[in-house]
Amino acid sequence: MTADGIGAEFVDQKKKGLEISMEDFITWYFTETKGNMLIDKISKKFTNTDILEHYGFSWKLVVSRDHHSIGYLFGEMESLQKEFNVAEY
Amino acid sequence: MAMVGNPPLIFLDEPSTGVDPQAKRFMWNIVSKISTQKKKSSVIITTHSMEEAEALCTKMGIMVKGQFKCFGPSSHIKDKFGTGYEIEFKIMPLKDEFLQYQITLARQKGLTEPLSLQGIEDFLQKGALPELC
Repeated sequence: MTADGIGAEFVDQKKKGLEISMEDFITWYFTETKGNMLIDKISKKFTNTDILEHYGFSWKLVVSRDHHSIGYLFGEMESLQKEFNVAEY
Repeated sequence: MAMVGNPPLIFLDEPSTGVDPQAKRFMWNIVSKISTQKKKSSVIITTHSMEEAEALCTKMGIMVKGQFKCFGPSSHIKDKFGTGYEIEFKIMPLKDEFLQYQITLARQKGLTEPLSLQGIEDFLQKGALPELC
C-alpha cells in the first residue's frame, strides 16, 4: 500500500488519524480483487489495455480495436458480467 | 447576459470551468435550447472537456498550439482518430450477509482491529481470503 498507489485511501485515512473499519477494508479488498481479475481477463482478449480512471467501484479502460466490432465487446462484457460481479458496464 | 436579445452568434470561452455539476447541467440545457432546439443563435464554445463538447456540439474542431488539426461531427472524429474502445464498468458492492461472513472469517484468520497498514499488508500477503476471489 502506498500513498499514491493501491490502497491510497487507507494510507490517507491513517495519516488523518482515522481508523480503517473492517467493513471498508473487506469491501475494498473484494472490489479491487474482482476489478483487477476482470481487467486481467479483458487484457488477454485485446493487444492493448490501458486503465484511464479508477475510483471507488468503477473503472474506465481503453482497449485496442484489433478489428473487433463493438458487438464483440458487448458480447465479451456480457459473458464476464456475472462471474466478476459487474453491476453495470 | 451574452444571450439577451438572441444574438445570431455567441462565443463562450470555457463556460463550465469551476462550475458545480448541477449548474453545469443547467447551463448545458440553456445552450442546447438556444442553439439546437430554438435555433435562434449559433454558439461557439471553447472547452477542454470532451464530455461537454460531445454533449453540446454538432460539430467540433480540435486545436493544437493554435492550429486546427481536425473538424467535423463527433462521430467522424471518433471514427477517424479513435484508437480503441472505451469500457466503463462498476463492481457490485458485497451483499451485507456475505460481507459480515467475510468479516468473521478475516477475524478468525488473524486480522484484528484496529486495523493498521502493516496488519493489512501482512494479511494480504498471506492471501487470507481466497473465498472472495
